[in-house]
This record gives sequence, C-alpha cells and structure tokens, in this order.
Amino acid sequence: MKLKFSDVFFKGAVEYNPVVIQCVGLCPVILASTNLKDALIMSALILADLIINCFIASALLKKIPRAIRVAIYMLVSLLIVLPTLWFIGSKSLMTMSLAMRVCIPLVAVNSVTAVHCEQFAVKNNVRLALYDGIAAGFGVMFILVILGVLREIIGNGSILGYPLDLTFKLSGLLMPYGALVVLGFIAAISKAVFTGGQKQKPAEEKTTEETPAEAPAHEETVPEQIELDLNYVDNENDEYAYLLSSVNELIASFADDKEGGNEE
Amino acid sequence: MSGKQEKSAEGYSTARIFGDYLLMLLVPAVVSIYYYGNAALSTLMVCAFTALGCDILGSALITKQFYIKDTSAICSGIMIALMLPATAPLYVGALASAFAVIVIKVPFGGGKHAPFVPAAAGFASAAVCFKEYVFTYSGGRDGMVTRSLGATLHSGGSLRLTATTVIDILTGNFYGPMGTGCVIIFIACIVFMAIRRKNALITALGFIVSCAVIAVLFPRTNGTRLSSLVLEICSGSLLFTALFLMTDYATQPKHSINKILYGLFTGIIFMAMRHLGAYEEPACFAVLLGNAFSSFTDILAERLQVIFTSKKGTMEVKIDEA
Repeated sequence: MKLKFSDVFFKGAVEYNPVVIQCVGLCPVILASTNLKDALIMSALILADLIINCFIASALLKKIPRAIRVAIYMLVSLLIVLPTLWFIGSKSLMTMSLAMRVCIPLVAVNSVTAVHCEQFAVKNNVRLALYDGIAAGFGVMFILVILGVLREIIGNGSILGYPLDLTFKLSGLLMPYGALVVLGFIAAISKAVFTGGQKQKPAEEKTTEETPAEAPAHEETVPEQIELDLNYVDNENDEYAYLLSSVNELIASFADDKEGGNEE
Repeated sequence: MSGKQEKSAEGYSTARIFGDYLLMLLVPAVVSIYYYGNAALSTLMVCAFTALGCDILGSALITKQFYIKDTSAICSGIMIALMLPATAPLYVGALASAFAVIVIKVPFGGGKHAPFVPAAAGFASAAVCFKEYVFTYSGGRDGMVTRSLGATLHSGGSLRLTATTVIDILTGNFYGPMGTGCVIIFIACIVFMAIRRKNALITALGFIVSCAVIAVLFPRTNGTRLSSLVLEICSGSLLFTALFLMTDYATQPKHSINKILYGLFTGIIFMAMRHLGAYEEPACFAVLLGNAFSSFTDILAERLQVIFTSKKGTMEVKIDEA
C-alpha cells in the first residue's frame, strides 16, 4: 500500500503528535510558548530542522552507525541554527525574551529530531521521511501556536503584543506550570478524541499453543496493534511502526547495541 | 448522584474524613464572618459552590459517577476561602477553587488519589496570579489590629506579649487571612481530630515541632525567643496548614515514621521560605513541595525494608549453613 501525504500528515501531526502524545521535546515548547511571536519563531525553526534532518538521514545516513548519526543530526541542526542567529542579529536577539535566547541554540539538540530521524527517516525512503518531518514539524507547530495564543491572551492580556481589554490576567499561565497544565488538558482532549477515551491495553504475548482455528477469532476481538520493529525496514508498508515508540525505547535500543558490541 | 463509598488506608470512609473536615471548617468560617461580615460570607459561598460545581462538571466530563457524600471539593473551596483575605475579589476565590478541583482533584481520580493537596494548589495558583489581592489584608471590623502578624514578622518587627496582645492572638483579632487567625479554634480542632483520626495528627505535630524549633533557633523578630515562637506559630496560616493541609490523607505517607519525616521536612521548607522567600505566607508552596517528597519517603522506606529483609534473610541462611 502506497502511503499518501495526507495519511502521514494526519497521523504524524495530529493522532501521534510529538508533543502531546509522544511527549518529546517538551522543554522548548514550554519555554518558547509564552507568546505567539516566540511560538511562531520556535515552530518555524523546529519545522526547518526536522525537514532537513529527516531528508539527510533518509538520503545519506542509512549505512552509518547510530552513534555517529545522532552526532550528525546535532551538527546539521547547528548549521541551521547558526545562520538563523546570524539572520536575527545580535540586537534583535537581545530584545527577545530570555527563554528564547536560551531555546534557539538548544534546537540543535532537540529530541524530536533525533526520535523522528532514528525511528522513521533512516528506515524509510526520502519521500516518506520528508512527509514525516513535515508532519512532525507541523504537529509541534500546532501545539506551540495553541499554547502561545492561550498563554499570551490569558496570561498577558494581549495578542502579538497588542493589548486586549480583559478584566483580569492569569499570570501563572506564563510560568512553566501553566504551560504544563494546558498541555495536559490538550493531551487529554487529543486522547479522548482520537482514541475514544479508552485506556490502552498492554500488548498480550502471543502463545505458541494457539491453534490456527483460534487465531481468526483472536484477531476479530483484539484490535490490530502496531508493534515497534527496530530492524531495518525499507518498504512503504512499514506503517507508523515508529509512532508507538518513545525516547525510552530509543535509549533501550542504544543499550542493546552496546551490549551486542560488548559480546562481540 | 450516588456511588460506592471509598475508604482510606486508615480504614475510614471518605465521607467520614471530609465530613469531619467540614465540621471543623465551619467554626473558623463562622469566626471569619464575625470578623469580616458579608465579604467573608460571599467569599466562602462563592468558593464552596464553585468547587462543587467544578467537581460535578469534571465528574460528568470524565464520565465518573459523582458521589454526593464526598465533600472533598466543598472542603477545598472553604479552605481556599479561609486562607484568602476578605477583601479579595470574588473571582480570585472562584478561580482558585476551580483550579484546585479541575486541575488537581478530578484528573487524578478524586480527592483520594490527588498527588497534591487541592486547596494548597488552588491557593498557590491564586498567590502567583493575584499576589496583590492575596496578601493585602483589610476590611475587618472595628477594633481589629490593622497590621497582620505575618507582616510584622516579615519586616523583622516584634510584638510585646502582654495580656491584651495574647488575647488578640488567641482570638485572631488581627488582620490577616480571614479564617486562619483564631488560635483557640485550632486547638479545639486538634483535640477533635485527636479523637477522630489521631494517626493523621502525626504529620501535623511533626510540622509544628519543626517550625517551633526553627522559630526558637532562628528568630526573625528583635524580641525574645519566646515571642518569636508564639508569633511564628500563631501568625499567618501555620496552624491552619498543619491541621487541614498536612493531614490530607491522599498525600500523607503510609508509615508513621514517614509521616513524621514528611511533617518535619515540610516544616523546615516552610520556615526557610518564611525567612528567605518573597511571599509573606508561603504555607501552600511548602505543602506542595512536601507533597512531592511524600511519595518518595514511602518508596524509600519500602526499598530499605526490602534491603534489610534480604540482608536478614542472607544472614539467617549463613547461620543455618554454619
């Protein structure tokens, strides 16, 4: 089955949103979403970073060992961030909030990039990797913009710097805890909308005693579960194997590599 | 609107625990109405009804049955109201109560499972968002001392302990949070709680003891150590916090020793915040930090128990082998 851009986009940006569902890259999202302007700058940077890194990972880095690949992602990200800093200029940068001055250089070590490149881009072709980069970037952008708008209006009583005539302001929303509270509610709403509010059941282990006659009945009752396959897969049928993964699984795979290396 | 009655680890039902809290809270509520009149009454009503409304709404949203005898939301609302000044706008209390219930109580499965004391979180959010209203005290009846004890201590001042001032302190005849000043009531409430739920008081005692020790060792006033002790214990919402926030059964550790540790730890943080912090009354922030520490003490105790049990087991095996 050939994946369409719309399928990848919906799954990558909405259903398995990097921030609210996968909970990756929360730090820049929380720090840079105190107002809409900062949120837009940060989301544009992350989007560019993801697209370029996913493209490079899929096109050039498939045969390179994982440890080196991750270092290359950082280098590439740095090459994106440095011209951005130069373009903004030191004067403009100094007028930005402290959070942005800290966060922009930190995009170079953004975990969203590492997770998406490692879990999807290096296992798929360039077209799909680009789709995934765009989807994940827009996923982060959605959340940043929603947070930026809410926090600026309710917390600061303005939008894009223009003051609004509000009775009161909840300045606590401008603090990190405010962002986490809003993120929690967005995550809850997303889960309720896209999973119907059902609790995820733990994956049942397949038993060898299962007879072929029982198998179809089992398939009918248990919904299809996508399992993470860390082996190299280079076909378009690998539908969102990465999406159920998390940073922990990535770390676990690193540990497996290390143990394998030691055994050798 | 009925459901299954939950029971705490201590074996008491939630209805009983929060019923007791409600009963105890009614007394300072009446005193606050006596001192601050209609302003106090309206704040209490708004906070209680907002909390109740948010609880019903939140339960409906997460399709959880609302248990009418679980008065935890109303208790949280009243606690928040009593910690606020009477002159605070009504929306401050309403927003704090809504925060306590919608952000802390409902998402974590009710008052029994909340990781933080809802009232403390609600008040803390109000303190962060509306500092100018939450720590400005006025509007009391004629004859009240217009400078709060907390403000006196915060500025390094002192108060001479005469018969009049002691009576004023005991009866709460000072400006301050509207329901946390009357010391006599809290002594009575402590006695009531000692009869009804004495295990819960362990934390409160740990908290008060650590605060008292720090007050004696590091006085903030330029008076005697005794006056420092009396003023620190009776000022702000220390006793109120000890009685109502520290004894919250969802956030208390399970083991008795851990309860003492939790109380001591929170007391130390509270006094450190009083000495070094920007806020005049940082009780809720200290309680929230203590809550984070609370579950850690239980985990630590369980691990230590496992280690000691396993060591004991190996020693017994070695003795058998010998």
